[in-house]
Amino acid sequence: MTILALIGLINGLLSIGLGFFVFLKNSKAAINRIYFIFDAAIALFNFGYFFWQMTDNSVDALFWFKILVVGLIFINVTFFHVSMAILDKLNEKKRIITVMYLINVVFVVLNMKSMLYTGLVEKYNLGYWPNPTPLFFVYLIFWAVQAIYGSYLLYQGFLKSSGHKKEQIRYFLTGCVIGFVGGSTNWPLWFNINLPPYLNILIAVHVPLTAYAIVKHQLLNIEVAIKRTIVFALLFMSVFGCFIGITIISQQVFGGGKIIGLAVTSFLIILFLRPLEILLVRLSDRYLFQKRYDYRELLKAFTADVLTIVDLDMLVNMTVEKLSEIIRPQTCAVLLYDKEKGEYYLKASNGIGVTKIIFRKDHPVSACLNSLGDIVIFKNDLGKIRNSNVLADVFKILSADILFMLMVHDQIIGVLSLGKKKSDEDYTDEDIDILASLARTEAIAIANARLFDELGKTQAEAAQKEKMAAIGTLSAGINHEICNPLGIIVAQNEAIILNYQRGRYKDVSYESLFKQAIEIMKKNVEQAMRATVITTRLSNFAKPSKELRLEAVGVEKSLDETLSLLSHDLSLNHVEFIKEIPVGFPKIYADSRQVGEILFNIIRNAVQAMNKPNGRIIVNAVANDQKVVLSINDNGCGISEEGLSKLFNPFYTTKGPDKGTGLGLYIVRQVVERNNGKISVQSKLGEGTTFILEFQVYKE
Amino acid sequence: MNKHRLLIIDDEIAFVQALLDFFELNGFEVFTAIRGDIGLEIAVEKEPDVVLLDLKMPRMEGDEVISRMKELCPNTKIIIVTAYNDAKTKDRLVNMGIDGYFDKPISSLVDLEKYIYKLLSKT
Repeated sequence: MTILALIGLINGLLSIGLGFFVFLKNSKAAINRIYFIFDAAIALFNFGYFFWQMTDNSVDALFWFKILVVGLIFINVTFFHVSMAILDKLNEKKRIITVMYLINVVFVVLNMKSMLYTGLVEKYNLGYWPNPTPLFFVYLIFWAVQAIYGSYLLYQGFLKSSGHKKEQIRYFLTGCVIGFVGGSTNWPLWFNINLPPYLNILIAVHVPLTAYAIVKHQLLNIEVAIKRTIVFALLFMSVFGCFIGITIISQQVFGGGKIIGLAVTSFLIILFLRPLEILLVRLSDRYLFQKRYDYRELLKAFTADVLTIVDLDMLVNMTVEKLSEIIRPQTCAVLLYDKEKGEYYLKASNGIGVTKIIFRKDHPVSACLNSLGDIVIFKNDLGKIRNSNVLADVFKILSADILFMLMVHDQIIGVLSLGKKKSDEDYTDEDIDILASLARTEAIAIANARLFDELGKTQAEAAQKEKMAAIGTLSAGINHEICNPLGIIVAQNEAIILNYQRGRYKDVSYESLFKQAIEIMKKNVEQAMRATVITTRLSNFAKPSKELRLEAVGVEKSLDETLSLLSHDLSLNHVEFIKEIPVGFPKIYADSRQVGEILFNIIRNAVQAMNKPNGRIIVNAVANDQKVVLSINDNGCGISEEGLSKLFNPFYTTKGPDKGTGLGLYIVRQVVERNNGKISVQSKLGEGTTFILEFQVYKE
Repeated sequence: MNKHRLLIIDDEIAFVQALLDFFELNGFEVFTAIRGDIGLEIAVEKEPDVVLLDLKMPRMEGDEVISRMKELCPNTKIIIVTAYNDAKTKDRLVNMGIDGYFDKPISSLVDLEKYIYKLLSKT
């Protein structure tokens, strides 16, 4: 076997191997199919090359040469095709790809009819080589155009893209350019230039580069990490190929029989195989697996994201998602313990095939899990544990390799399970340490989320309590507002009664007296209504709000109603109230009662925050087609930066214990959001605070 | 005999009107004001025997009117008539030297009338 034949064989085997791998991993994706054809063309070229080099007569050589040229022709067009697929430009370049295929088919026909070259002759002891015809030059130009244009577009795409895409293009393009350079070393011999095309082996370079891009940068939709063994085999094969190449060269350089060559090869293999293997394992660990499984990154992701999530569903789903992404286990699941029902249920999972698992209170699994004290349980250690048959079921149902108990205050609140890693690696001690600490964090996060969940359930209650507390503080003011009209009614009526009894009207005509009485009655009605409005508003405010009822709400009307409840507070604290609402201001689309509650809470806070004699609150409103922005500005004491960051947290309050439960703004924000609105706040300590409310404009 | 002079200061016009109707027809010379500052001016000018004073008013509040009046027309009796039925406030005002305190609604105009006469008879 000549060196050139061996090169062809190695190139062919590696290419077809990678091609099949890519195809089998995701045969549904167009890009994978195109990539397979690309590698098949490379393999066809190289296997043709191998057999062409292996023949000892010009007739067989011509047959294999025609085969290799077919491969050669298709390499470039499929290269262009796959490049466009990587760049997501298949549709855009559809026409040019079709035209390229058609032209290439023409060249295949010309090749088969031997019109690109005349006969094959032995050249420089390197096998049978062709002599080109003028048509061949046309092909050579076309060959180069396809390769260069494709590479150029890839390079453009490389410059414009980012992240994984950029890296994918980087490795694919590098591999292909090196391959083209290697492949083009075959051309000089066509023109009788004695330059042995050993660099043809460079075609093989695209295989490890593509494999690397697949593993590290998800090239070609192969989402799954290639198992270490496959990467290892690919790397090992390519290096081993070079290895054999070296022995053959040594055979030719030093002469001697096959036995010496074999002896040298065997010697080198024995000498270097083990160190080489160790080197390869280390390299693949370092460059292919290490970065994906960066423990610190994992920890950071957890502390940064998971602990801040207060929504239980989101928390657990994200945990499973993150762990699946970072560790790449075959399965990942979280079981949670329902304290009330005494059962374990599957909250989130990936890869276990079922979505509903419940271990009821009387199920042996529940009792068994509750009795466990260990944080970590390995499948392999099951033999050492009591109730191992029960636990074995858990491992089986969850397809788990390892279970982490989620414990808070020595109480188990759930189980995190992980399956075997897709990479076939075992969990190392370091893995376990890090995952165990993650499990502790997760347990706390889950406990927190549950507390929030509870809070959510009682939130309506809490809102109601808060309102009742507010009404308590209002009662003095309300009393004043009602006693004033009542005072008028009583005084008017009594005055007229007493005057009449005392005969004060004896000089007054009945008609005139009657007119006077009518006036009094009118005023009575007026004042009675005035009192009624206040009590109605108060009782409206006090009622728990039920379902959201979105309707057209007039901002000014809502504001006035709110002010009628607060006017006493305002005057008591000497706060001037200024409305800057344009005439004909658009209505908002919201729940009118809830808008009232929102305004009430914010304005009352503003009044309470007033600590100076010339207090004022300005409500300003602006609108465009879509939204209405209300800003409620006070010149009160303002809020510190620290306070601002906590302002919307539940139970945050700066007021004394008798003035509020602290749920005010937390609930206000939720109510605003329920009304499709937004709330934000700006404040400067000592200068005042502005709340900005945004609502949707009502459209008929 | 000169009529007793009564000044009513309250921002509720209808209330002022009702008291005016009653006291005028029952032998008082009545002056009215719906703002604290104007009420004080009238008090200085007319030197009424009794002032019926509300607490919450624009411009000048009851508290200030009381202290200014104590200074400018010390002989005038001051009766607070307010919807502000709060014990603490009442104590504070009594300490300021007011002569009477009636909650709104006034349960009986006759009682108020009697109270005024009682105050006047003391002088």
